[in-house]
Amino acid sequence: MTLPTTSRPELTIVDYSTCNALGMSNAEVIRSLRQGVCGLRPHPNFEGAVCGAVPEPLPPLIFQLSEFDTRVNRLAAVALEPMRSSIQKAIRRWGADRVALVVGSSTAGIGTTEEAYTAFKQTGSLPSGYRFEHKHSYSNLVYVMRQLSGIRGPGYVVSTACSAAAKAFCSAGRLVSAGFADAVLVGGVDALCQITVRGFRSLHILSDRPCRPFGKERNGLNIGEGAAMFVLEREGEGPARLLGWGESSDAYRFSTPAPDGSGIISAMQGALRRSGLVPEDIDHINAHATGTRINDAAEGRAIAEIFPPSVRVVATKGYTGHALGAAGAIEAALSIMAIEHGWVPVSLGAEPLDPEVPLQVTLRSEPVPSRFVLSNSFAFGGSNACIALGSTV
Amino acid sequence: MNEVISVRGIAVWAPGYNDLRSWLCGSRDEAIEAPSSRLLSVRARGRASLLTRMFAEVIQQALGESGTDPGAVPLICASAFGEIQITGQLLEMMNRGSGALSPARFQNSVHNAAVGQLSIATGNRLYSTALSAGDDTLLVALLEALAWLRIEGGETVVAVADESPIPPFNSRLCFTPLACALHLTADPSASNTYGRLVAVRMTENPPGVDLAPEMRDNPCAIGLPLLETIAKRKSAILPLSLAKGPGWCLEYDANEVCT
Repeated sequence: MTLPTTSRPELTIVDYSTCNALGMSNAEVIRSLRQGVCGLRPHPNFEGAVCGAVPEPLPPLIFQLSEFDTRVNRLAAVALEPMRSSIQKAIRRWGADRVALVVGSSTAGIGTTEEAYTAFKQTGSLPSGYRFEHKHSYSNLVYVMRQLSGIRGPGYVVSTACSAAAKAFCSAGRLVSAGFADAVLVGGVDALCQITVRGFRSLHILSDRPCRPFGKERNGLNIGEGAAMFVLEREGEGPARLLGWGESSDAYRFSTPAPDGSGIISAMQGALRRSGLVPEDIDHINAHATGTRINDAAEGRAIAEIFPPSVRVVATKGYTGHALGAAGAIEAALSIMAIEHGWVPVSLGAEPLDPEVPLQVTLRSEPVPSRFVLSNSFAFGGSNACIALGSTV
Repeated sequence: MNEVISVRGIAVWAPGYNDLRSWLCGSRDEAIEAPSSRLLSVRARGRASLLTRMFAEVIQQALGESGTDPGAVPLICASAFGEIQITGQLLEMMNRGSGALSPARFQNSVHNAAVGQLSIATGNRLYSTALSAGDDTLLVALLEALAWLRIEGGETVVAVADESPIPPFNSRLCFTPLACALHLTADPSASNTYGRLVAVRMTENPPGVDLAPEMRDNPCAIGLPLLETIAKRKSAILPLSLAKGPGWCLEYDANEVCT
């Protein structure tokens, strides 16, 4: 395509779908969220670590994709299923070549590779059904999603650890704004696996109980899993809009945020600037809020630095755990649910609040309309992303 | 919206070849096994994977052509397989003794290890990202860069790098490590540019490429004909993917050079 001149488009989220520790569908997730159900519990496959696993077995991929059957691809397929008609509608409207695919993920098929490697160590050969090219890498996720959706535009994975899905939204917004696509299937997906659970354990930041983001008694995070997918179009009708995005790097330490929150501030200011909003416009912020002492403190300082004390701050990892590369997408879905249903969820586990975190963290479910919401995601390497979502009314 | 995207610098690194010039001349030096990667501190270099060191090297070389500060340019790093060597080390740790993992290795196994370490090493607080798309990895890295430049303007550096999978996963997929980088600018007044990226388009029959046998399976190797064309100051339509069948191409015009 020649690079056409484009104006700044209005990006509509015409449909979305999520599965995570709270349920296998939007309806189950919102019901659990409203009832304050915690999706975190000890997981027998991970030495009893408290995890946010999806609550039901995942159906295998269709026969034609059986070579690519991994947990992460199954999660993506579950999230895609309810959106088939919206995706087909976007393809009919814009053309399959003009619909792109951008997905955030940090694990891809590593869980399957772990099992294959252990089998290799025990038997001297890889399992007969395992083929590295079809099971391990990110391109398999793209391939499976293309096959299931019929999308033929550019397709890729953003893999910046825990900010990946939020950055997938940023990339998707740019692809449309720059004229490289008219619609994007965007989202995030990650599956529980040994390397992430044991890796975070090695960093001594896994909590041995359901996490308490922003809570006085917080002592770490829980790993979760799930997927959330969105059909984003240049124009259209739907439950929400992508208004803006901001990205930055801390340039501080690899696994510790800059304590003054400067990188986080930069990302949030970028999202406000692009969306044409000011801090006073924001009705609530879905915080990254993992439940670790240092991360929540840095984010709290950053939010307090630029937003009025009245802004509501929601922490949702007490329900779902930290779904890593999928977290930004799952939390965007939860934010859109709040926008659609005119209420703000409780920050599960936050009470009693840490008095050192000077925020209006939601401790009760409130029936208040949210027109403008920010959702934060941060990651190893000092990668920060913030997306601005808005209602369509 | 910025329409003119020009190339300010290019770089290649592979074992035996320290830079683009040695690659173009075919002057292989067997002693070259790892890049100097001077963007990273000595300590960080010692801990970094070959993949991260390759990214550091080509980014420094590409930006070095115009003397651009690596702390002041958005970084886009893309790799099909990512930190596969470190992943292999973690798999081995999981299957020995207690199965506990090294926290340093775990951190460095993420796909954005290179951009994270480089942003820290250079004090770069701008947008950066890490992408993956199999045989389309170069294509999507360029699309991400072009989208960024068209909206935000300024400059960016795009780097792609890959290492071969580890045993026992490399029985069908074994290749020489390779990294390529392009320093791109949307500033029409920028000096010392090569030519201009005119268009990225889907083509029914992309032109074929002739890659050395040890490079044919490296997803980044599709960058070699592009960089050779740019270095030799030719105009051409070049494939951006190793995938077979209809594919994406880049139209490159060597004649529109800003001086």
